[in-house]
Amino acid sequence: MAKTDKERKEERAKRMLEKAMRTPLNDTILQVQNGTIDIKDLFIRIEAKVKGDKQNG
Amino acid sequence: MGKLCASVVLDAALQYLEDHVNWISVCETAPTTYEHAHSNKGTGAGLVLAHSTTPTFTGPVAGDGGGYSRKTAVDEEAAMTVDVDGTADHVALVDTTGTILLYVTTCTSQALTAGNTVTAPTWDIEIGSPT
Repeated sequence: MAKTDKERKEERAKRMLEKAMRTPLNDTILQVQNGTIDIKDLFIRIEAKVKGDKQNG
Repeated sequence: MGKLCASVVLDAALQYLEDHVNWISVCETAPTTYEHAHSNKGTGAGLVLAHSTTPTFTGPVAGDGGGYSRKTAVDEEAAMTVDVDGTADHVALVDTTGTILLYVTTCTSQALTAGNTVTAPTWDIEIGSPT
């Protein structure tokens, strides 16, 4: 007995789904770089100002 | 004389990230705005290829740099679904409640294919000792 269009479409969709399920998924592993934040203070500039004041005084 | 920064000072900054980051995204090119890091590539200015809404942290703890440095680890985010094809080269941490892009780092450039998954292994954010 011949299959109807609807039956053929359903069978095709089922086969495609099975094929997709068999295809392995790839998991890419990134190499993420650490981030480092530096803190710099202004003590050197303050020190210079004090020395300058002494010379002027 | 050595310089000093109490751990509570640096930990407050790291804790801010831990308390507010609720979105981690893998991006193509460097995101500099919230939209870049929150919208998929192909949608507006979006650059996102994959994302997760459940980033977690471990820390803050003493940093690798010694002295008064402190760090927190962004825990591994395993098997995020790749939504859009592209080349991943940045990872972003986002606060979706405040709509703020909080932190961006780089990663080795990798081609990603939609439908596959991508894993971001654990990585550190460190604030160095004052110099």
